[in-house]
Amino acid sequence: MTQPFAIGGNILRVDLTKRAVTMEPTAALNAGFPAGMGVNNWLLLQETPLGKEPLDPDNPLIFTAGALVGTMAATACRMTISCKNVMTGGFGAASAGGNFAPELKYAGFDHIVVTGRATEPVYLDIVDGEVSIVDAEGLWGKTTWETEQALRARLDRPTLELLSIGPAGENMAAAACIIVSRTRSASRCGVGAAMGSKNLKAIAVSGSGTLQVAEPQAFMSESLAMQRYLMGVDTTKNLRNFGTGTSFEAWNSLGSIPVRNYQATQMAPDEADNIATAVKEKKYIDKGFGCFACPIMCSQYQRVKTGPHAGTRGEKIESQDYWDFAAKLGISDPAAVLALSGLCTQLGLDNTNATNPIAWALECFQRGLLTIEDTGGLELNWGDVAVVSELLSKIARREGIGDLLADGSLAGAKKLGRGSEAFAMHMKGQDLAEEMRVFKGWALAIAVAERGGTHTQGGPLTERMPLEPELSLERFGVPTAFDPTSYEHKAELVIYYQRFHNLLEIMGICFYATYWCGMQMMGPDETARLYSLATGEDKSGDELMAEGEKILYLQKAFKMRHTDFDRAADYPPERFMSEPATGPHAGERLERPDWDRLLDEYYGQRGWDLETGKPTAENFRAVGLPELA
Amino acid sequence: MGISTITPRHQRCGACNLCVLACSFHHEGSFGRRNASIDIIKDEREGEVEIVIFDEARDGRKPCDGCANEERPLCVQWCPVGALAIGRS
Ligand code: SF4
Ligand code: SF4
Ligand code: SF4
Repeated sequence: MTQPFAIGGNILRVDLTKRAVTMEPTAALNAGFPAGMGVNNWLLLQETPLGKEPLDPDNPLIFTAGALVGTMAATACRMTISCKNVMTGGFGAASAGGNFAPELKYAGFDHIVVTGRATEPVYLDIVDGEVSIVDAEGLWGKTTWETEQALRARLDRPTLELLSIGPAGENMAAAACIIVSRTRSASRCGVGAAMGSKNLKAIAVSGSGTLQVAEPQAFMSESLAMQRYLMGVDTTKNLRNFGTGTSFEAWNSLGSIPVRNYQATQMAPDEADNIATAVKEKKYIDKGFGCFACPIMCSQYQRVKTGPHAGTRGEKIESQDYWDFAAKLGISDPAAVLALSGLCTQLGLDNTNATNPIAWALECFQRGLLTIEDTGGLELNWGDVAVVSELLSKIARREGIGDLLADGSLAGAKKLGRGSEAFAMHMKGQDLAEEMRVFKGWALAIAVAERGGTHTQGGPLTERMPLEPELSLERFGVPTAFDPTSYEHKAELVIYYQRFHNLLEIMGICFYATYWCGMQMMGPDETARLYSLATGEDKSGDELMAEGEKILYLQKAFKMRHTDFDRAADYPPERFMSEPATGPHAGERLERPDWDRLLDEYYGQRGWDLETGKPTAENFRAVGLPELA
Repeated sequence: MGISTITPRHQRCGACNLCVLACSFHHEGSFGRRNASIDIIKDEREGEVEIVIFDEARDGRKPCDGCANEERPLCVQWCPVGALAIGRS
């Protein structure tokens, strides 16, 4: 797969130890690889040295704009940031929308590979082909919002896009994320800590170039038709109107949210109603904004005008914020959720990887495993907004109890001992974002995800869609895609979505515009048409799905090289096997024999070794990666 | 066909920049921000947007020519929320 069109053109390499900047054409690497995340994952695999800790300066941190980013393809705005996973030691990646990735391409770059560590904090300033490593004095210690504001004041240019880390990244908390365009977060896997480990505070980019596509008129017509089509679909209207927040009520009514550190799966009606009503009645929503080239505009700007959180304002509150703060921690005031989510953005904390260890600590306190002596005088009670706020600040700065939580619940539990490991809810060391007991395909995707504990690599939302078996067969070739609790054919379904998610990451297209969110949205074929017209390479949906598969093998190879994760690492936390769900699916849990069989099917579908859960040399050859066999 | 004047409705704008890309395409048949006659200035803090339409060349930008050669101005065609209207307010 080569991509002559729609590319920025170059890979930017920055060695912060040597303060050296070099560039090479992207085309040299594109040959034979899926673009975007494909090249990104290949570079990560080839250039991450063996046997180093995740935060070792020698490891690369790679920023990549998707293949269609910068064009008018609907929602093609996304950036993938990869590194050695700070929480698992395996493959790590995070993704964000916003405006940075297109601007990077207009500046002439598809990827930035950062290695080394600056002696003093710096930021990177990219103005087309001119790249400078600039002293970040005065920015270190600042929040992401303060950093953004200071850089905007300093760098006066016709267009300017920024990403930065906050105190959490500077202090290398594993829960640190990278904040893009002030409002978007590249979360999970500790990418913010990786950036902090390089003493890199921010990246600024301004690009005056343009992107060419292979068939301009046809691409424009196809893109406009796609946009108009998407605008008429209910899924789009719902996202435009409410953001992703409405799924909080839907998921709670299905009894599949992580209540009080996953001790239950459904919130009490009065607590849940507070949030559901605020979302439905748009109590705080001002208006929706779009990432670059996005007609959906799911990103709600919200403003709290009265009460204890008056003055809180900001964009991009997701359903995930409600699982993280409302469900996991018991905070039922929606205004408080907005305030805490905003605090995370400012501190540069990944909501999920910050709240999950807090939920663990709250449960440990509830059970007497953590005491007031351990917490420096803090009473860790469920639903206490002030305490959660203080804990977030302490995590970001590694102060007191914050230091125990900063590397995730598993690392915290290992330090604390006292049987607290049983309450650390993680996969492969990365904190979990969500409940796994009820939806079996969803659980499988999270358990086997190469990134560790994430639904964005194969999680099938179809299990929550009330649709017919015929459509399931037509789309996925299996009859059970819409069946919530069945194990049958879920391995095939997860494999489908693993490929599809990787395909979308190659393109830089937002998952929300696609089959992931609704069966009327874009699928592989629609994506392939846009890709073919943009690049001039004729690709079918199936061929692109095969590229998605190939990328999974790059991630797998990375994991095999850097960790000893095997089949045992693909089993969910014990709690999901022994403690049943509450709510409408009361009693539902993951039974070990069912899970054994599900894993056999999942590995078996691909012909992987059933004992180890690893691909064989033949598998690598079959997907076109003989060099990794 | 004909030369149009574009009136921005700032409050509707969701800052997606699709009009900017459409305008860039109109001028040069490619996609960028700095050759477009529109700039979208978003204030993330306040949740506000200003749509700037350039009627003279500036910073390498081309002035808006009202999409004289198009059936309908491209920016208007592409705006997903009707934040750009044809004609003077
Ligand atoms: S749907 Fe939402 S997250 Fe996706 S590109 Fe649009 S605004 Fe961004
Ligand atoms: S009318 Fe045409 S030239 Fe003027 S701003 Fe719109 S797209 Fe650009
Ligand atoms: S296309 Fe419309 S909504 Fe999008 S930036 Fe332009 S004016 Fe605003």
